[in-house]
Amino acid sequence: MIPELGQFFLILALLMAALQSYAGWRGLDSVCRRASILQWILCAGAFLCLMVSFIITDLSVITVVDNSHTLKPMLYKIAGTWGNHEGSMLLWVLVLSFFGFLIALQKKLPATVLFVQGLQGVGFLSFLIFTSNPFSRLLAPPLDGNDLNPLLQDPALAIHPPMLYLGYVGFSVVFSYAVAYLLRPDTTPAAWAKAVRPWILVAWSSLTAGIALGSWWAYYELGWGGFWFWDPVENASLLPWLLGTGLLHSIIVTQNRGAFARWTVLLAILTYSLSLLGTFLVRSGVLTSVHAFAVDPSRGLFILMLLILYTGGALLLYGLRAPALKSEAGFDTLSRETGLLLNNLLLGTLAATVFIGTLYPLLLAALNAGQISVGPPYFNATVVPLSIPLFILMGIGPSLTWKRAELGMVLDHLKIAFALTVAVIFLTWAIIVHISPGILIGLGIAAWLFTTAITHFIRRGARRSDLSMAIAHAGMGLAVAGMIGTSLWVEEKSVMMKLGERVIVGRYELTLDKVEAGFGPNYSTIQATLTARMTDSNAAPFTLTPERRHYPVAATRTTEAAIRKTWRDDIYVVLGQPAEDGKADSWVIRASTHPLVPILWLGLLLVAIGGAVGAFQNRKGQQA
Amino acid sequence: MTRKHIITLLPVLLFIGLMGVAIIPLLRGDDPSKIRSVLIDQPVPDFTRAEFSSSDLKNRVVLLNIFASWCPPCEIENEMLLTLKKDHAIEIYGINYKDSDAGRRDYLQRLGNPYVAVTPDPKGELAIAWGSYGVPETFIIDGMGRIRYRHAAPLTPGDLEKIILPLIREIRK
Repeated sequence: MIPELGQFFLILALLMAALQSYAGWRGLDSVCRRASILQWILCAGAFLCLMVSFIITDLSVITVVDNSHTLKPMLYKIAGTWGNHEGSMLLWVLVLSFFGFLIALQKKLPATVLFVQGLQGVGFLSFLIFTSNPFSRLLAPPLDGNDLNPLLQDPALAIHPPMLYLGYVGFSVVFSYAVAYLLRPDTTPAAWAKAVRPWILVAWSSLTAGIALGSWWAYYELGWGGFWFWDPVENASLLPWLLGTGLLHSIIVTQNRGAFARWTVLLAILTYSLSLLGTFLVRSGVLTSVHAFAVDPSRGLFILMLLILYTGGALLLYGLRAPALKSEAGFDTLSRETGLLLNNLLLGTLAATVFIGTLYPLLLAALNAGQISVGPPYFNATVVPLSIPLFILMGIGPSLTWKRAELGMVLDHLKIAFALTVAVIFLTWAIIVHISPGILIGLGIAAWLFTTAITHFIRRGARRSDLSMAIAHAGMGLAVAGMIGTSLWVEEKSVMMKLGERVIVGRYELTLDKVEAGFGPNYSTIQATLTARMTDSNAAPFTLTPERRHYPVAATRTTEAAIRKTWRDDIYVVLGQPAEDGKADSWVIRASTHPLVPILWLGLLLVAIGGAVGAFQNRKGQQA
Repeated sequence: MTRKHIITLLPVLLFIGLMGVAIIPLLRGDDPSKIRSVLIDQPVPDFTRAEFSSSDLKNRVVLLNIFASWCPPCEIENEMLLTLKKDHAIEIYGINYKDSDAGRRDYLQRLGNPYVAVTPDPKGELAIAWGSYGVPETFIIDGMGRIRYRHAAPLTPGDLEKIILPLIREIRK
């Protein structure tokens, strides 16, 4: 009964989306408003129905059978709702309709925007109902389900997809505003930019938080000891983030100076297109294996049609209508406009680089030629050199004034931050004996970002309007320091240890005490117990218990790294294979210390908060 | 049409081109992991390394696997390679693509070493010689030193049962 109800809600929601779109185009404000609100309520109802099916483990629903199990902990039963293709697409339309609802709450209804938003609702709801129906029934229900992939059974991952989707789909509003502006350019570019900016900030902050959560998960759950692996799935979320960051900055120019209007509208369309591309490439399995695409051509073709319709349609409209958009204001070579132009160029190039590295297997297959190496070697070689000038510019940009900046004044503003940065580099070099030039450069950049953000904020008298940028830029500085800590500065040892044996890693001394077998609710485990003492202080020793788990139902093994977090560094221990050659009680232990990791998460959190503060302030500014 | 249109229409033209290039093979149902390498039925490329050389691959059926410790799919595939080694006594030679010595050591120690011999390929020269698209990639070489099959994706239990083992049995006959 409940699945049928959900199905019914979805069909009604589709009708509401169509109505919203029609009413939006014809300017029937009150119909359009109600249709938007109802569409969201219906999508939420359908989502609840699926969630209930997961909670009671209704084994007549295919999605539940494929992704759940009666023995699974409750949190993951609930999270199972969106931990699969059908459910996550339902989450997508739920978020899409939620943003439509938010737009509809505005006093002065932007009807054309809701027309575009409604069109998207029609497309995605049809996709869901006709090719990815989460409520499909199974005629002969099995005894139990196949379980959710154990790697996905983690609290951070339970909230990671909703956060990410808030970001991805948040850009749908930005897209709708851009297309609506091309269809009916009834205000100045500056007024348009002012209306869109809070939405950009909301989407971008959510995306930042979503990416940070995913990265946190990879670091703490996957046990690979890094925060970013240049995995296609990760890159798919980084792409809209990079362009979104560009958009976030170009919209400032459009709002304040009426310039870059055409470019900003294009960026708005492209950012959302990359969100679409990312989600669907990941969701359809095209990225991991092109084969998955061919297996279910109806789903793949539908996705393609949506992409071509929305992105292609918007770009065609842009091509025809953009020349009519007024872009004004000239500026000097040294000005804030130039700084933000460079920011956009660098971020655009970064996005293009990551785009090529991620999608090259598809292109390569099409062209039947060429050998390019991808993976971290490609990305590190291309992304790092582009990021360094971007980070340096990030410190200088805010000190530039609109139209024309005085070089002498800019240098004067930056001298304190520069002196502090140099001081940080020298101090680090003097105190820490074993340090490579790479780490020093990285920490220097981090210090530059942090000090320029803080000094700029203080010099201007701690204005509220500067707050969001100060938080975000300073947060980025902290994050860069953390990234350097977890990549270049890691100390790692991989050793074969007998019981009672000791090893020293970084400032810790580890002793292997015991290795035992045991059971969890839906897995069996081998757990090692190690005692860690700090070699540089008399702090109390603590124990670390890395595990290797086996989930029999899903036939998967996972490595649970043991991690002890301190403000200075993380100690990270992974249990490997037992000795093969019959040496009793010998185990491979990989231990590493990762300095400054907490700062990475704190920094990313600040970046997201900075965006959220900006969204809030811009929103208030609009109402006033 | 004005001159500005030429610029503003560029994105949509680029998009159409990109879609065409990326989508046509998908519609044809091609799977790049199954694309026939030009090397199929050709002798293995000549190379000499300290760990092993092309001549070592020539007098019995062997597998050549290109992998890296920074490649998560390789980690997953490793278990399949261990199965081939332990349960089917198949010799696997490894090319360790653009990796660090520490990375390789840790990877093999942590996950188990399925290889008879591994040669580092820090600059990717061997991978290019073998026409590799990326990692992981696996080649089956018959007893005559010819490449009979290439698999440009992680091996799954299904691949083992349906492709790799039957082909090895056929070659050995």
